[in-house]
Amino acid sequence: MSDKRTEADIVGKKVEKATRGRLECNTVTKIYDPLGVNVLAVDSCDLELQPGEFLAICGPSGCGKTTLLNMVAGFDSVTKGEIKLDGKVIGSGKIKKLSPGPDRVVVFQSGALFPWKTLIENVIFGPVCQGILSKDEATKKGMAYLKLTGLEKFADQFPMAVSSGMQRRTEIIRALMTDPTIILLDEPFRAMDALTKSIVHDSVLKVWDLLKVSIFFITHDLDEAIYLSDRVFIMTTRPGRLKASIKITLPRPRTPDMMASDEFLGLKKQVFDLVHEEAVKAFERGEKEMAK
Amino acid sequence: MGKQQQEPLPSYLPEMVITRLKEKVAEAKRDKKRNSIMMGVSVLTAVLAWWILSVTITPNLPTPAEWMVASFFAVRDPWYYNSIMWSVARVYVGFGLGCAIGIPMGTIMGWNRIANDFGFPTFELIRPIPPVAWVPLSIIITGAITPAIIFITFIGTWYVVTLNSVLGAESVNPSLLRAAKCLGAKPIQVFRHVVLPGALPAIFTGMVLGMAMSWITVVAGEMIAGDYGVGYLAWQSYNLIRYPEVILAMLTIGALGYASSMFIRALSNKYLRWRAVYN
Repeated sequence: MSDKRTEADIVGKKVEKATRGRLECNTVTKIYDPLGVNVLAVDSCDLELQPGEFLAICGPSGCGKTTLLNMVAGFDSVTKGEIKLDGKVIGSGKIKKLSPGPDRVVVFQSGALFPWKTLIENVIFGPVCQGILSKDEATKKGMAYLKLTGLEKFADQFPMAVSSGMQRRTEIIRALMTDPTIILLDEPFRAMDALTKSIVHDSVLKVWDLLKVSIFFITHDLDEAIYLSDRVFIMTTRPGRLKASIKITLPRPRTPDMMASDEFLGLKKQVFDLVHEEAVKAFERGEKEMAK
Repeated sequence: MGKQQQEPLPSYLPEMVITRLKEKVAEAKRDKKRNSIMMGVSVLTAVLAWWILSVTITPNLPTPAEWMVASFFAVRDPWYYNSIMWSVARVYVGFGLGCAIGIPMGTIMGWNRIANDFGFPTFELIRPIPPVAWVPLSIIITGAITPAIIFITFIGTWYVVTLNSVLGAESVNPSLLRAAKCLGAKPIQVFRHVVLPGALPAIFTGMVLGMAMSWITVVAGEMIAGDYGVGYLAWQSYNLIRYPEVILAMLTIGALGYASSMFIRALSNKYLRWRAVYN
């Protein structure tokens, strides 16, 4: 171990206390109107995310989790209600023009690294496009961030040449490079095997601890929701609204062995029961709709 | 069976692997040798068929021997190279123009709905007209033969390159567009860094097809209205009853077309390096 430097030294900064990244959703409603049939996807959803909080959103398939995320990200318009980020309205029924931006970066379900750019070129894309950093400065910062997650050796590889776990870590780093106030994770660990997942989880926790950025994390996987987050937000089946919000009291830093603790299992049972209730409802409705 | 079981296991396994590898190498060598033999046999069969035809049912067809003798002299004539030069120049100028206009135009149309709604109707209206049908009009417009031939070559390339660029830009993964916007890219940067590289594989397909199209149109153009070029060479040789040279011109056109498409492939291998890691 020649490198005695701490992670904060590598990145050159450590945020002690988060001061930004407060996300508020007030009675956010989304109605899709495909072919004239109104589909109520999200119904008066209220949610508040504290600065630097790691919030996991769970719910049955099709409950409107991703719709909610898309509205926060600025990919979808809000039908009714209001979304505020640090007091600034970023989406409401009145705003029709969509405006995704670098203050809230999304990490996508299926991965969205630019396959024609090497890892480092992907990582520096944000700050260079915005003109915040020169290419050299961005490369320096990017290499430090890659080093943080053990990817510096792969900086010049194309995404297709590295594993899915490395791709996803790179994508999270790419998101962090623009100094966002919030990161939106749209089930990014979905198609990963357990081992890869645990490595990526550790990377996420590491950078989150260092930079104290707010995280809005959608997932199906209850284990990872509890293991990573400060709070698990459970949504009802469609139309999605808040069912329960469960505080995760596990101490930080989190370690994988916590997943076997009684406290963890107790939380898991609690979350599972809530989600299961909704899943059954969704399933029964699905049956009914099939029978029609 | 019994003998194999007596062998000690540790040294037995690697040896088997080595043997298998050696077998594989030998197999590949055999395959390669067989391929080259088959290639020779295939060409020889074609030449034989040509020979038989030329001495039986189609007596006007020169025999391979006649062709070889005539070609031997023809390739010593500067006129032959002059013809090649003219055709190559026309193809590449027309092709270059077609790409220079077709790639941006198609990519923008595939990316931007408004541009698509504006451009596509006219494009679709013109597209069914075969490039060769433009010959008279292009001579009327340009008043000279070379610009007219370059123009139809351009049309031939432009059609396919534009169409493929549209398809390429439309096929770009929407997550990548969203990701770029998220990261603060302005529309022009989204185009430069996401739409264009994402469309590139389809653009290269269009360029390969466009190159084939420009050779078709240049030859047709030179035959109809030509003054120089390999298409003209073929037609002129016919008029002068130099039938072996007709075949020489044909084979030359084939070889030039092949070399051109190799050129595009080399380009595409260079620019699509990121895709090579796939395979």
